[in-house]
Amino acid sequence: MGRIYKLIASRGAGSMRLQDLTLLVKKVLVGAVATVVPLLILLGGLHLTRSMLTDSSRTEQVSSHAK
Amino acid sequence: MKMDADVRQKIIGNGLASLLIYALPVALMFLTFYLTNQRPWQQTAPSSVPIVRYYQSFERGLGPFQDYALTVFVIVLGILEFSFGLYEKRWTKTERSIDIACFAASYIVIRPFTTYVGLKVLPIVLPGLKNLYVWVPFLWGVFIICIADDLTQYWYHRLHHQIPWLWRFHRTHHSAAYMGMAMASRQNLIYTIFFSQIYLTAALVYLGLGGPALIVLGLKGVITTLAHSCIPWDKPFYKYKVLRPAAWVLERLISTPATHHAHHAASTDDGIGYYKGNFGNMFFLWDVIFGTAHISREYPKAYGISHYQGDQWYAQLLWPIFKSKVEGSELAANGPMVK
Repeated sequence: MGRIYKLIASRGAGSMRLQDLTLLVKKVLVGAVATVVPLLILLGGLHLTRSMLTDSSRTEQVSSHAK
Repeated sequence: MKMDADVRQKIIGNGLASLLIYALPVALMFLTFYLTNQRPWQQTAPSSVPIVRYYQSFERGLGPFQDYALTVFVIVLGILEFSFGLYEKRWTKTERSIDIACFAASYIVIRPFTTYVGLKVLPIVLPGLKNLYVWVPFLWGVFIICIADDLTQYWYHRLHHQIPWLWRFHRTHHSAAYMGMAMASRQNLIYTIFFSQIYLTAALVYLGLGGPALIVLGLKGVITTLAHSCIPWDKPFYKYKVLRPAAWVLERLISTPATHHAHHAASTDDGIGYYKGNFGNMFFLWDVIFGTAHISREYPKAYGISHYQGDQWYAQLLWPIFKSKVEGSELAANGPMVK
């Protein structure tokens, strides 16, 4: 473990600051928004496709039975 | 350094238009089902579409080897590039270390991590939704994933160029003074591990679109690797008159060496280089739609970043965890946030 710490320190990782951490968090948030927004659109669209077309075929069946 | 008001306005406008583009394949699928009275979720028989049957037999035939097909393709292309001496003398020890570390990291770190997310995290985040949309017909699935995956990567890439505080996460991809197949995977590890489209596509695979995803990702891997390659395979399309109509379509539809090399140019002064646009990965169409395209049918004379002085491989791989020791570099401790 001591070797790894030595390597990290020699590579300048000791200079990781709070502002770098903030930057990382902000970056992850931007990436998360770019993932979640299209996912919600697709989930909503696929759900609506199935539920609306299932309802419409049921309505058609009921009306043909009534005739 | 702040973002231009004009750029911000374009990002908002294009972002809103993108919401409609994401919904487009599902809306068209809905309309088709409505007009043709198809209800695929009520159907249990195998698909009758010939291409789907062909794909299914192809998938069974390839078995576990299909995952290695793209890797083999990349390695063969790399050998060809080196055999023709296309990297010249610009592939220095530092650049070699970066390219090899990034290529290896995508197999050692990125793939196991995203597989773990797909297998362990998604069932927690999306409980009970596994294979919920497995009924989506294969070709519609391909259409959905083509748009979802590649448009998301376009935005991820574009934002890393246009938002000043995101640029340094993407700088490694642009720092090399050459082009080649290794450039496709040459990225800061933090940039790659948080690729939005990886998790979006993983979620769609979890929801039941695994087959279409496999085809799209294979195709995307080939197109993006060829767009980064130093072999100008698109040149004959511009040279021969008979191929020019095909070139017109091709260069607007997918990324080609000419358009993508322009994105990696060191300068924009010659009218060929255009690192302020040409953000498309598999499809160039996004650049055409959003006005970020520049087509010149020529290749830049110089690549990379004009003020680059060869930051250490570990800083380029893992900034901001590791910093560059090059004085004044954007990746150095207290380095400037400029492009």
